[in-house]
Amino acid sequence: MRSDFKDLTFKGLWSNNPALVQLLGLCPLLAVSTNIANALGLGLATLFVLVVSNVSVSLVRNIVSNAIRLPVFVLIIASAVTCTELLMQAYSFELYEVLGIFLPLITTNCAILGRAEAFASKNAMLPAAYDGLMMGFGFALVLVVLGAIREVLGTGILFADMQLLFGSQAATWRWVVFEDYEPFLLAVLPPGAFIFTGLLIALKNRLDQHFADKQTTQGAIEAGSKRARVTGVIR
Amino acid sequence: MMARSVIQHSLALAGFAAICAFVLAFTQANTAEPIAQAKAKARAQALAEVMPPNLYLDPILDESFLASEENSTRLIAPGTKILRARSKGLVAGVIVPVRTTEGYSGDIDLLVGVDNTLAITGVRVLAHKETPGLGDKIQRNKSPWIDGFWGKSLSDTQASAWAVRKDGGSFDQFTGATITPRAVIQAVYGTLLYARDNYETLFEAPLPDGLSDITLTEDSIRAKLIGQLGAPTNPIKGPTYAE
Repeated sequence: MRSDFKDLTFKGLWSNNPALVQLLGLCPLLAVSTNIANALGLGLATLFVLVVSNVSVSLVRNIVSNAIRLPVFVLIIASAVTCTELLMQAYSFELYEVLGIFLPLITTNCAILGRAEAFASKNAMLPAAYDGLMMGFGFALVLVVLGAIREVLGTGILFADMQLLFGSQAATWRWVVFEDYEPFLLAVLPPGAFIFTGLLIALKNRLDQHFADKQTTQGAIEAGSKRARVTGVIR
Repeated sequence: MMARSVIQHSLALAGFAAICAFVLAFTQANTAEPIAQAKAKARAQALAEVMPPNLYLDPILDESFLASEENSTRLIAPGTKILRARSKGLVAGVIVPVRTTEGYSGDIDLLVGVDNTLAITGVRVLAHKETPGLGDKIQRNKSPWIDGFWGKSLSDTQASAWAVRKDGGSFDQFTGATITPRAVIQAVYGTLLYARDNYETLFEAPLPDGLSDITLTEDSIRAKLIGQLGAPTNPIKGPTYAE
């Protein structure tokens, strides 16, 4: 059981990351990642919806027959999103105004229906909740990293507008990284979002390859030392 | 058999729909009150930013003046709701929603406050599609640029000075974005002209003598108007909302 959760963590954050590997939910990812505050806001909202929808889907998985599976999942997700929207409007109105249309659009984030269908509908509540949490974290993490890259390259500032999320004392978090910075417009515009997402994916693949190479060479030495005659790398 | 399964599935789906509807109704019923409060607070804040509360005494009501076909302009469309801020029943200032089409990419919606001396009490951008990082410095949360309009009037800023410095005016442009501030400046200037031309309907008072005469200073007009209307309880000063 323990290793299951470890596996889910690794999958959600890295090997099956919704944004970098499954490439799901790109529309909000690209549109909202112009700075850290927006990215974190949408990331947390998506995380919340993902956990709620995964738990609900997992709870009803044995009652719902195959034929009406998808409509029921969509109903659940849409309700979860609408509730999130109402709650955010009630208790964090400024953030609600900032996220605007991308909040209701969480409904159409394929990452959520994808997890409901691929994981929550086949697993018990606890692993489903954990999967939602980790997938949400993975998504939010990529959003925030992309937001940070675009914010610092586009404006030379980090953590601007954090007061929208964490109250007025967070306004002091604003950190001018480069003084007198000439804005690099491309980073803030949609093409920049595509380019930097592509670079992040490339970086992830490169790291994966690096680890894989390392493992192979290590494996070869171990294998060689234990056997008398080796004709090739034994895996 | 077939028909039975269809009915079963339909009932199950309807059941789920009913549960979801119930959850939604419950959430909505419980958030309606805080949402209404948050909206009212946001509106009051937005209004306070263009019309500082120390400029008027009576609460701003939903009473509004609709721009008619005749007195509408390119900036102020027919049917635009113009709000009045009153002190002891007299109009102390008006809040005019303005839309300019001269933005770099799409329309820019502004809220412009004008007091009864025809001086700007505040300008805020409500919606725009300007380039992020360049043109969006018209937003107050990105740059204090828009506060530069405070106190400006037709009498202290001549027609030719309602422009960016590059064009010989008295307002800053942004690095890499001149069209956006140009559009905003023209919209604010247009609003002042509109308020002057429609002074009697907007402020429900005759246009004070000096206001069309640009040789008078703003202070002397103010002194004159305070004499007519009675001084506001607080001295007139700059916007007092939190930075």
